[in-house]
Amino acid sequence: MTGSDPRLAALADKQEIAEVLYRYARGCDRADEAALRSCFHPESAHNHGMFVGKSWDFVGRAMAICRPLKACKHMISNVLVTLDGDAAVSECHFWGHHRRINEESGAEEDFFTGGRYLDRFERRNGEWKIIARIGVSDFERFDPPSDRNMWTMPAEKIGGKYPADPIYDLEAGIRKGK
Amino acid sequence: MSRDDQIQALLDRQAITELSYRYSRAADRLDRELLTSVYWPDGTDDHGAFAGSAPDYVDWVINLLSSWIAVHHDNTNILIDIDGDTATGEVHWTGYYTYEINGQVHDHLAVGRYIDRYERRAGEWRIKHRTCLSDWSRIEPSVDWRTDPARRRLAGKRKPDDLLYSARRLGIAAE
Repeated sequence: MTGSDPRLAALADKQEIAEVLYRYARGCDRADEAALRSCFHPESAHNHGMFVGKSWDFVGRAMAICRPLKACKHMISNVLVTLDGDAAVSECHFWGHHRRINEESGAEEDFFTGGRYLDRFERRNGEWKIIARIGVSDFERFDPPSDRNMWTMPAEKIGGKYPADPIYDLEAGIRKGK
Repeated sequence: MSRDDQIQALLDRQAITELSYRYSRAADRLDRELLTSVYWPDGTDDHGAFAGSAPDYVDWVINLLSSWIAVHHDNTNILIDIDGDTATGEVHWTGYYTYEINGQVHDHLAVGRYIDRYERRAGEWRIKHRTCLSDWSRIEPSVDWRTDPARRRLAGKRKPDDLLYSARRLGIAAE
């Protein structure tokens, strides 16, 4: 596909890399372990928060953190990619929210965080994946919940985990040609 | 529109989009050189509190932001309209600012839009004029988590101390 026009190939590479970053966010938010793991090559190195080690081990840690959360959301923006053949480096911005339990008080709290992922990508067998990641924090804050009536909405109208969230039925439907 | 023109239009959009990402990187990391490079030398900027030439704007904003503890800008909803070698754009921004007010650390969350005019010269797109509009904003007291050494390890910093510039040593080659 990308053999004919190198300009088009560069655009396609940037889009594919951006979608890996979006899939990472979905993997965290929906506690979708397979989606999260698919973003990383098996030997990928990881340095984020208190974790230093292999990305595939971080996936297990992320699942342990994200799965119990009442709500979890990550947004990715400002994806700046530098391509070099089958290698690439990327900086993207993330904004994250965790509705979690404060360990001291036992009460719910909102954790807001923003920062950047500094990633090195490699393409193998035509597929871009992360080979090394550093997560950098630019802001964090904790606030008591202030929900008004969000949690009185029907459960199916509130973002859920894999495989209950509606995105999975939608994607299965698209794959079946519905 | 020919297939070649379609590809060129996508490339133009990507180049113009990356101007805003580089602008945010430059502001957040206090990179004067990078910030200067997203404007044409005869470009202008109107940020309300400051309006004037692009070089003077760079001086003003770098001076302002350097007095704050941390700055982070996200850009979304980028709508670009290209007409030959000129283009207009609307870019949403969300700014997270941490600074002290009377000795108390505060988080300032602000959201707005850039209204831009771009020009292509010798194949390169840059900002000719940027107007910054504000849509909403909140300021709340905070605690500076950076004082915790364990957290400070991966805290964002300014150029050249940010990991963006030293990630090569850690196995991630940055620009």
